[in-house]
Amino acid sequence: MTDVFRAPTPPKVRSVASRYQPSYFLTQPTIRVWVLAVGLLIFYFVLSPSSINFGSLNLLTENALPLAWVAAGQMAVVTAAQIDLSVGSVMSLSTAIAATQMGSSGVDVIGTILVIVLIGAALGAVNGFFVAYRGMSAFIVTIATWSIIDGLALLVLPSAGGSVPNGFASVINTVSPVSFGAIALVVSLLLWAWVRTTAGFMRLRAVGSSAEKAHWAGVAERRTTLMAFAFSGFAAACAGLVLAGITQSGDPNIGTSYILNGLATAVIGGVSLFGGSGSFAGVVGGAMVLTVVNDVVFALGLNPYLEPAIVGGILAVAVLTTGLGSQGVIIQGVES
Amino acid sequence: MTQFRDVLGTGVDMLRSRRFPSALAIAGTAGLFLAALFLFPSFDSYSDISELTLFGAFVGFVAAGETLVILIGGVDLSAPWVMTTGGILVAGWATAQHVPTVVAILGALGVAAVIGAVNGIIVAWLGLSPVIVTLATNGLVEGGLLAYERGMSPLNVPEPITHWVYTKVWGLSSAGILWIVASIILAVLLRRSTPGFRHLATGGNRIAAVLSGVPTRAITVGAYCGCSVLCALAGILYSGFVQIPYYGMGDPFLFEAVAGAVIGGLAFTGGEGSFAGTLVGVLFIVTLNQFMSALNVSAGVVDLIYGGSILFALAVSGPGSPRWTSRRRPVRRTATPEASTLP
Amino acid sequence: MVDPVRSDALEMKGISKHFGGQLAVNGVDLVVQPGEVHGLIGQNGAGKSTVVNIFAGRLKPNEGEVRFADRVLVSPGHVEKHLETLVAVVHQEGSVLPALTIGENLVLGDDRPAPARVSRKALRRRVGEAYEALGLPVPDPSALCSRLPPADRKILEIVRAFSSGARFVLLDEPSASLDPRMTDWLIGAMHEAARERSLGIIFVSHRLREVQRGTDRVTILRDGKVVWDGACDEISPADMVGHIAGKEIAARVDAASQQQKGRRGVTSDGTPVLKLTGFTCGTARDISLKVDKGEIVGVAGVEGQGQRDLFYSLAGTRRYQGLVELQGRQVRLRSRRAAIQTGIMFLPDDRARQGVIAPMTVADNMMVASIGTLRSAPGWRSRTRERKFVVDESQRFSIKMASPRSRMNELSGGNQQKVLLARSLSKEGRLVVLFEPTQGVDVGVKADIYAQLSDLAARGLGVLIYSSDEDELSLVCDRVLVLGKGRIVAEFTGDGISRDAIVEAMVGYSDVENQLGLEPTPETAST
Repeated sequence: MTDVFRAPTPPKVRSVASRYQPSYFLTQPTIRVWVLAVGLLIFYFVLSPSSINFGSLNLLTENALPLAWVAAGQMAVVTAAQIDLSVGSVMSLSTAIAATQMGSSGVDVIGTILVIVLIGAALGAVNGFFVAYRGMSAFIVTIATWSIIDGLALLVLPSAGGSVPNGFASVINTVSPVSFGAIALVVSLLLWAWVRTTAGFMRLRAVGSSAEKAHWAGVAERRTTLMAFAFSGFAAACAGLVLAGITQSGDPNIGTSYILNGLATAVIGGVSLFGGSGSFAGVVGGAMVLTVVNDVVFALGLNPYLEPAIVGGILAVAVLTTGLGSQGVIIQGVES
Repeated sequence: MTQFRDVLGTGVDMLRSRRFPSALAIAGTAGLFLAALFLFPSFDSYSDISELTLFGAFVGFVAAGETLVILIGGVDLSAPWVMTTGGILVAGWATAQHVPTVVAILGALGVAAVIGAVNGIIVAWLGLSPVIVTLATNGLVEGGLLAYERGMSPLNVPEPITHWVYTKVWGLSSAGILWIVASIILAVLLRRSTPGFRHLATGGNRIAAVLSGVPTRAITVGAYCGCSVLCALAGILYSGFVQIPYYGMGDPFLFEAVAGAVIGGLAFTGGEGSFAGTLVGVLFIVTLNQFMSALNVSAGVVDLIYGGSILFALAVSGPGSPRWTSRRRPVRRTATPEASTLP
Repeated sequence: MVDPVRSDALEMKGISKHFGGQLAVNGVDLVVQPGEVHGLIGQNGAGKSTVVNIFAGRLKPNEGEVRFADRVLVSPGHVEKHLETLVAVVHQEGSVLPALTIGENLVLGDDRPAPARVSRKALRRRVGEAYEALGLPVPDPSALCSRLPPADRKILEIVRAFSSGARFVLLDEPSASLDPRMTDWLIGAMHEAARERSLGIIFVSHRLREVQRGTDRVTILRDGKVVWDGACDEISPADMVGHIAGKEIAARVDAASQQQKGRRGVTSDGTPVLKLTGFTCGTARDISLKVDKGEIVGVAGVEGQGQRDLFYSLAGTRRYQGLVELQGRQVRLRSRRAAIQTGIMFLPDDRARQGVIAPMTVADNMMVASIGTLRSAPGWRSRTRERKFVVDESQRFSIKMASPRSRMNELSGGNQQKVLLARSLSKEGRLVVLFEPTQGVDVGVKADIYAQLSDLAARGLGVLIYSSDEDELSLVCDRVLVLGKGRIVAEFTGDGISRDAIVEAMVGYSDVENQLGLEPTPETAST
């Protein structure tokens, strides 16, 4: 009773518009943030011609490194459609432990480094557990752990001080011929080039897109979310270590500004707050933007308190330019 | 007469429905307070209840503002600097420019209203994420305030404000009474007034509200506006307490306000929660603070216990927690068409 | 003659499932042999979705089990891990991840370790193989799924299921997103897969004609029980309807359709309720139409022909160009509120996302649109008026609920729809615009809704409906317009309205074809 239906003879497939037209590039957030970063850099050089040398570029990448790393952790979590507000306190805790526990021998230093990043990952995993396995809101959980980890940092190191071993500090503070920061950023970018092709990252984006659909597609979405938080803690700990090297001391309050700056870096770098997409290359660009802004404020002799305003302004512009253009015919966002 | 029955009915409704603040939050607060009474001989219930309500007012007004905004599915991260702005502007205008106190207060609240309106307009008309918008505003307000004050160090708040903040009425702080009364009024308005219903509808499902003719954009702007005004009010009161407002004084309050609201049962998804719940949650937070300072422990331990209590309270009774009292159900949410298969 | 059950058949035996005291599925037996296309039909609420979810391993039954060979796949205490490698399911609600590309969606379920590389070349190869195996043109594997129209996403899901290596494929109402031409392709593909690869296929649908053409055996569910099971050509369509709906409801639908046929005979005074001239919005182009007082006008069209743009613009939530006249007066529908002012009432199709306000009670959901009128003082709600409103509307629409204070998710889909309908119609208006008003609604409630629409028309309102159910349109409407490529390509009136005529006009305008690069063929593939 059913006639065999013959599929139509495969017709010529209409060619899809080439992906590599110029307009494509301009719409990519990663490209845009780097254009902005380079533009700001040029502006900075114009303001302060004495800084046009490799030394200042080295310093730039050096200062951008902790921000880029902590923002990488934020990116992982935001790609999973979550948020992590405890990264700042993990950074503080890392500097506190580094400044008090690192012995002087090489083995001690390496051992302490390992312990610190493991602690960071473990604390992140705790966040991940509550969010993924207990279904609690990431916003509130990480606010609570922010407080808890801050407390731990204060217990380890009640006020800024302590010291890190010279060897450790000198490695991190290398600024010539190429800064440690530049090398570290290049290495992480290479790592990123690999990570973005992995199945694990694809699953992370899937979970951020829709945790439920990812689950039914066979993705272990709870474990993936937990790993994202663990990575965030790990990245924050690494960033804290770098910070300890740069300041050569510990400070239980140093991480606070990195929470929102890290999030801003990620957003400016093109990571979507709705989850599902993001690029570390963009994040590095965002870190560069924020770091150059810092230098610009200094060079212009502006009140340093104005920096949050400028960052706020850039953030606003970044979000507005991606937000607009998708309006089109639809009124009040009633899409169907 | 019908109005009175309405109000009474609201109370009964709240008790019956799950909107009432979690029993645990209430028990926790009461428990902490009694424990403090018992453990610390210097914990004089009379003076400390008044202190509780006083501090509760500072956190509470911010929390009430956040409740307004979180109820429609948003959040206001510009609370810290709007709060600071409230205090500093009043001090500056009244003391340096000799503006009458009342006018200075109204002016500061007006500025806050404008800031809130900007937040609301961007969120409502451009549909951008409130996290980012209010984050940016926070920074911009900080910069704007500093630019306006041109780095001048802050001045005293006018005497009448300080005097009033320190007054007590029937053993409770006057500011605390103001906060409690305001919370009650907001609670009743939310449940029994037409704009309140529309507010909850907007938070419950914005698109459904739009299609039903609810003016969601006006409601959104109003929510952010109201939040900023309440935060500025909190800042003015707090300035009266410390007598000299300082830059960054608003920073600790956002955390405590949101934590209090969530402990009181507010859901971040929107449409669920109550001002009464927020009130209880804030009292819990403030009592915890008192408890901590009475214990006289180091700052680190305070943070530890603080965060730990919030986590505990949430894990046991906040939104999204498993109902351990009932039969254990898997946490993962399935798209089971259970309801639609019911004949 | 029943074939002997092969040892490698997929068997469901004695499955029962209840939800909070309500028995959704009661003692269901179902056998799917390899090489067979097995249809599962029943109205919404008959238990089809529950059966599907049990086969998929998403639900555990309270009794009974699902077996394959000598393995128990699903039982009250156990769901086999990686069931999807044996039974691939294409769910009704869509499971494509928008943030991922076509290729990524295809390989997402693969069991590979986290650090394993997902190369572009491998994706291209996978996508090519999977699509070609089903005779489809190959799309760009790196196309982002958030940009794909619903039909393409459904095709992706179908391709994924068939290429997953599973021995059984379950398709739950796949044709809802597909146009008649692609449905034809699907039916052919199912048979080919069953024959060539000995797959066992379960095809769930409420559209009888598809089931008749597409399946070898049929199982009919009603009220959670199997009421008929046998070879497809052993039962007539009429008997099928009888089994599906049960005799009393069939009679009710009959009575409702009689009511439609004896039309209301409202005399129009010449001014149409709605008149569109040169209306353009998104895909909809240069549309001119009118709706008279007391007239029910239907719009038909494959997905993506501009019907959403048209209807949502009338609701006031899309920007448009062109002339809109309501009762002779020109209006500008700038916003939903503006549209409401002019008397346009609207019911969207997506209940969950655009209709139901989950945290609110059923009573509250009903009152949302008219809360402004239920007051004792300006801005102050009145309990008495609200109570009366809820009682009146519940009666008017015969809404069944435990209490007005229940949550919406405690109601059946049909009753939820009635609540939303009550909400939309609660204010007096001139024009009622409905987008897929009976989606996911059982036959009994459908009849109620048709009666309501008829009543509205009798009172002199104009009604404009979009429906993907051509039978429904021919049953309810006085006039039917067919959209193709954004324009009106056909119009049928009175006795000229028939399901076949509508389908014939629809075919050949598929957006799906354009996306996939198919040239629309001149000949039609009607029933």
